[in-house]
Amino acid sequence: MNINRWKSQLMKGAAELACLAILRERPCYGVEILETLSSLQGLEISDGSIYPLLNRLQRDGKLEAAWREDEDAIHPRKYYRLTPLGRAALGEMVNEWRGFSRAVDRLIQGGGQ
Amino acid sequence: MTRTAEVNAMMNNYLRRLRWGLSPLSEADRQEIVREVGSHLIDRLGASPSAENLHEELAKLGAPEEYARQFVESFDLSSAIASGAPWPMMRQAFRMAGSGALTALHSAGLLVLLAVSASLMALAPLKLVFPQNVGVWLGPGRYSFAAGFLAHPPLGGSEVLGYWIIPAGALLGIGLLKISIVLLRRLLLTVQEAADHRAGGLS
Repeated sequence: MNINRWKSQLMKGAAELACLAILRERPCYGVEILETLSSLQGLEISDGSIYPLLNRLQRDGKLEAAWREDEDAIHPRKYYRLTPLGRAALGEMVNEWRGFSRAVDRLIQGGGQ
Repeated sequence: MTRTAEVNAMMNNYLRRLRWGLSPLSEADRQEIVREVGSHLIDRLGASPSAENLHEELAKLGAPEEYARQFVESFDLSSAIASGAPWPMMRQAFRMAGSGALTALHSAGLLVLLAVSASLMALAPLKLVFPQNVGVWLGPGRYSFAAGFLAHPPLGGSEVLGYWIIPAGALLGIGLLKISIVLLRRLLLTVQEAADHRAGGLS
């Protein structure tokens, strides 16, 4: 079995939830989100995937963005933050995820009994 | 460490091709995406902006034309979904049908559903113009049945709905149209989710 392929499929479903969850704490720019994800083992997403996703979440009204110049950078960065709609979507997704994860855990531990 | 002329040229070339690939989008959206990808590359290169490192970073994003296509498809999908209108959604579903046999199959099924819904709604004006040719007929045999717009209604059959076919057709047609829109929207949302991550979940 190709475990990386399976992991990739899992991550596909979780990428939106992961991005929204990172932005719950504070506004971040793309590379910061990628670095936070890669610091959590098993949650990396590719550099190419992140911007179309952030772009779509912004169009859907779940994120808003603003360009900001940081002191440590010589160039402006696009910072994303959660909107109230994004926060509500995250809440719903977290609930769904917890229910799903509990069910899978039960299945793995007790064979569904 | 500053970027060499070679690195600058490589980066500008990538961004120029990306911008070209984004041409179906508005100028403001193109600018925003190119600026963000440029900012990403500068951040990724950090203190070692060598041509070799840039080459690696560009490889992670993929060919600029292909990368641009991901944004364009995502924009097209979002606007089709936001429109809520059956035709733009249907067109988008067929455009994305190449992404999988299941999408193609669902799109074809939904097109049939939309066609049936349009035909049912068309019965109302047709009944007014051709009252003898539009209806639901039973007979002449025990199990024979015909319905719709028929050039030659069955001889000996009795038409049972009369002008009730106008509200019945309209209601059924609108009901089917609404169901098609909900299903189309659901299909496009699924396709959108897959398209967001086409570059692959893992780095």
